[in-house]
Amino acid sequence: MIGTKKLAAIKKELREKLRKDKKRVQQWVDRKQARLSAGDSENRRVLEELMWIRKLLREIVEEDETRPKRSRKTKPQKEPAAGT
Amino acid sequence: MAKAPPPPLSSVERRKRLRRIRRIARKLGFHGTIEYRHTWSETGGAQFALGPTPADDILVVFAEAFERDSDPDDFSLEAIIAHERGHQLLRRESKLSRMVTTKIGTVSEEILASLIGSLIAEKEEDREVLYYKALFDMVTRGMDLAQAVRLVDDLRSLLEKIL
Repeated sequence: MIGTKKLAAIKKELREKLRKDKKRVQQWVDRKQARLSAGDSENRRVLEELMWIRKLLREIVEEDETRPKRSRKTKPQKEPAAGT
Repeated sequence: MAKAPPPPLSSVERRKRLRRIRRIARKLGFHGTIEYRHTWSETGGAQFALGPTPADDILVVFAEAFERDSDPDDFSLEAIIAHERGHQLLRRESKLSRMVTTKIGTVSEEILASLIGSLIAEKEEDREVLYYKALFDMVTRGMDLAQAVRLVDDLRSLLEKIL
């Protein structure tokens, strides 16, 4: 489910957040963080989970990179036909 | 007050919608059953349901997906379906499914589905909005901007390497 929040609303909030005016960005962050009550463990859990996912994905990528790649079997070359 | 049902649709238009959904979904690699339901869903426009086998997976697209698609300030049908295909890849791609099946929650799964959607969507604009959607879901969870951007970029690039 992509959620019901309209793209325009998402962009608006992000634009506000990404605005170069650092002070305003900081205020936005502060407001958002202030809204997270001390008891909002669900949000913290999500963030921890995402960091855990990143770690896991890194491990998967590293595994793939270190795993020796199977070399393709090369077909034995045919003997040139007699007389050629 | 409940939203009034979507305006009636002729059977020709209904088939046309279904054809368009199927074309997009197949192009994105979706396998399983694809349906169109002419009702509001409150899901955002589409829903993926995992079946016992990949062939039994179901993608249901609802009327609001078309309503949103017609609004230039909202997600396109392609972006909505790419997000749902993201869910299917999370569940069906062996390297990813092992972490999704039991260990991660709904919010994280939604973020990852958007990021996968941002990798597989055909149009650059859809890729971008799905990336923003993932970023938005993170910052509204209280993550600071720099941290969220770093994390979303890391996750996206790792998923790109895996897929």
